[in-house]
Amino acid sequence: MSASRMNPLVDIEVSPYDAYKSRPLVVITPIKRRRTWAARLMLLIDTTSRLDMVHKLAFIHFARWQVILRGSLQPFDGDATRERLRHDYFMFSTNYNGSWDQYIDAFSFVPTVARGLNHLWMTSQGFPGPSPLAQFKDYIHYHEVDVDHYYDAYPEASVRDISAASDLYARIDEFCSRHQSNVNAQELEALISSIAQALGSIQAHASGPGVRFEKHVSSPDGTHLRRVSPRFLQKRPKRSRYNYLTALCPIKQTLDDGTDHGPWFILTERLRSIAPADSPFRDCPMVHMARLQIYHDPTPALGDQQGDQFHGKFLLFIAEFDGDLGDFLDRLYCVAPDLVHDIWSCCQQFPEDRDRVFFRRYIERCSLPVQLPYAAFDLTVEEIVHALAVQREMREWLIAWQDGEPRAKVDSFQELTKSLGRLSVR
Amino acid sequence: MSFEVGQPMDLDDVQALVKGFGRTWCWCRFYYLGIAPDLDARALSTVRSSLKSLVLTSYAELCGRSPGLACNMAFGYEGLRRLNLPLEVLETFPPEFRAGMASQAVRNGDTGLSSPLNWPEYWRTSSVHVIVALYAKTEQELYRGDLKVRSAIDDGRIELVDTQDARRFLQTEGLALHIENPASRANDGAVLEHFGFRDGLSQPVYQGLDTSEVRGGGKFSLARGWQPLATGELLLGYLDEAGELAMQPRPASIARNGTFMVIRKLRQNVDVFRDYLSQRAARIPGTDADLLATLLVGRHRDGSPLDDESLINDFTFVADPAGNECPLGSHIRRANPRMSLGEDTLLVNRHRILRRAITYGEPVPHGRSEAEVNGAEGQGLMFIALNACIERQFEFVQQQWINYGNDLGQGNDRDPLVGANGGQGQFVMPGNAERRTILCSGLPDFVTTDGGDYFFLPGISACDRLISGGLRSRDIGK
Repeated sequence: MSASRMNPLVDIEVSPYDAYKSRPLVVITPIKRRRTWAARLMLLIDTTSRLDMVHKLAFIHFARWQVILRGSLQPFDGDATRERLRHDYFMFSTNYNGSWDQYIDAFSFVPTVARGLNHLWMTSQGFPGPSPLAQFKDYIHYHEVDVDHYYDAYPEASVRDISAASDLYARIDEFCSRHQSNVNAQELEALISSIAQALGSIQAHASGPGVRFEKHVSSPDGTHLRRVSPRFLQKRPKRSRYNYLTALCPIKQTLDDGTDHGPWFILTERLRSIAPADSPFRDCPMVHMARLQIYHDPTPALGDQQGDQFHGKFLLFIAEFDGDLGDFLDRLYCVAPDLVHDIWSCCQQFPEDRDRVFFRRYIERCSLPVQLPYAAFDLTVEEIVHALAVQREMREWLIAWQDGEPRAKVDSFQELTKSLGRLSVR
Repeated sequence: MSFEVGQPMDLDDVQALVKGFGRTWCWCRFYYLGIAPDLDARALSTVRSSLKSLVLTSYAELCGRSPGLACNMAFGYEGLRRLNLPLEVLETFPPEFRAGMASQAVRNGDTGLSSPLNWPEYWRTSSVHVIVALYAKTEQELYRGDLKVRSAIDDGRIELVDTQDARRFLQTEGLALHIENPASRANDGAVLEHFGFRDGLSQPVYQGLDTSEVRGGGKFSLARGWQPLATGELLLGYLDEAGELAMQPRPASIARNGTFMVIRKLRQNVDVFRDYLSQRAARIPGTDADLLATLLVGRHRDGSPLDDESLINDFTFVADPAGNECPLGSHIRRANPRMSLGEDTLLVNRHRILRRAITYGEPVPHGRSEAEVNGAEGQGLMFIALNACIERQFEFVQQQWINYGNDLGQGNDRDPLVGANGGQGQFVMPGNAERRTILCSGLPDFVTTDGGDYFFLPGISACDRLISGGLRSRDIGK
């Protein structure tokens, strides 16, 4: 990750995102020549059972798999030479908990997972299979794209935390509607013990213990454009409340003012300089997670001497959000117009006019279709943040009142539940 | 090179520590040795012959002729470097072993009071190059062994950095380690640790080693019941649960029958433990501090599980998914979740460690303070974990299960007993028919790390090769 500093005591790289429980990962692999149809087919068939498995493992917030056709990997510049690309590309992007390196070790031997991994990447050039493990990990890291700016609306919560909090919320809600105002002490104790296992303290990682940061192996690759096809959204009503964006914006080759550094370099510096606390996405209440990263030349395909080489670089903009894409982009533009211009003015054919409609059209022009999306929950940001807040309130209430006299305990609980509805959401 | 079922293991080549010294060899002394840097060929050969003069005890010997004194030896990365192993060989050792434990402090939860800044300098700077461990049946035997070791290393090139005495102690009739309830004591004869619990009960069981306690110790599957774990989860040179060889040093001859050893000096803050629990229990009618202690640990003091029905080590937690009997966050459930994470136990099987801990310091009886009994030196556990891959096994357990609660649905809560809680810890004990839900907050550090490092415990013939020198880069691949 970016903006790292060294811990003076022990030479470990510390990144501002280490406190986050979710970690972004993008892997872009070249598809074997003339196998693009197979890659697409793999994303269409037998996906339900595979996604169920992902759900069961409970460490992935969002994931999506998509095929990037080489035609969409061309620069916008009219005068630029067209790239000669031999491959189409396969992109996997996810926000996951814990450490891929530590967990995949066990998971890649669960037969269903191994089969799933194999199916998904079998059309990728040089894929060694899910085992031996060392090779699988190397393959993933080799094709990984570094993240330059990352945002998470609930960095303190893992998938399991959210699941526990929403379960706790549902139980309390059900209890309150069943008992209205006449709660007795015994029933309250029964409720408490039924929600007890969801009362863990949920907070961002303090100084890192408990979680490993990835050893990032920098890797490049390239990609881009088309509209998000509503057809795929309709196909999966189960996960339909969240929306997603993958946009590949070609970065200008040179800047007009003749500076030494390429625009991509300036853009990287700019993105990395945005502190997590100053992220423009913080003011977009519909955003679950978002990231911006530079996609460099593609990593040469393993076992393929020639590989592809782009001359251009791309800005990869990935976001998971609630509701309509247009609303999200409008909001982003409205809260940070200067930043939006700073960033996208490095991209080819980004309109000079400062206007949110142009921005929206530009991003739509750059977006790619998603073949297989996955989200762990059918919950909005608001619902998730609210459930986490209820869990926190409940835990604090229990710490304060657990040893209290039964009648007073019941009264204070009723006070609490009255206030729960009024919890500020953000 | 790989191990196949039925193939007899070469237990003569495995060091005795893998078998464990149990209650029989209850006297122990660790010698922390440092080798001078940049030795010339002559000086190095003196070092080599000194180390070679120490005769190592094997697994098989411990089973058979039962010597009065046993000696084992392990190497830190810097030690191997100073023994002049070729760079090409050194580079084949796993990165976390080469980096040492102090470098992993933040990840392992060695922060606050446990920070390397508070460790003796030799641990902080990975200056213990070789560890010699003597285990004896009696104090006299230990004394005899001590003279041998000291004369062996008295060559001017090896520095005796420090020694550490350790001794197992048993529950005897006169020993009271309870906090409030005298009836909570362990059975007479049980091997104890300083909080008064029977220790070292649940150990993984591996193919080819002692498999008599496979029920509860091995891996469980619905189809096949209890089976021993693959040897390669512990010893190098054998296939592990994934059917692979763990990352191991080459040439294969120096890896075979070896294992990686994590040694940690864990101070048990007995006064803090007793004070916190009695204060907490005072606010809960109908409970006592010893009951809270058993919930923290997840077992009664005599080792029996909390649900009162299971056998001492033959259980899976399947009947207690929400932790109403044995809390999900309790120490034993974190260290070995058995089937708490579901029927598929692969995640658990890949993260088992063999523990060979031994206590140091005198037990602190009920009513007395640490300082009265052990002074500033304190008391605790020389924690020793053996595993094939430190990163995958020890570090995973320490980082993901002990100092984080996600897998068991405990949020950020850490192990209430050994986690790095630093006064901020929380532990939830879900209620059941007999007791209400209890939440402990503001947990202090009951256990702090006073030092330690990662070592390589080679097979006996490999140890000889490492000491003798003469390994060349061209041997790699053999």
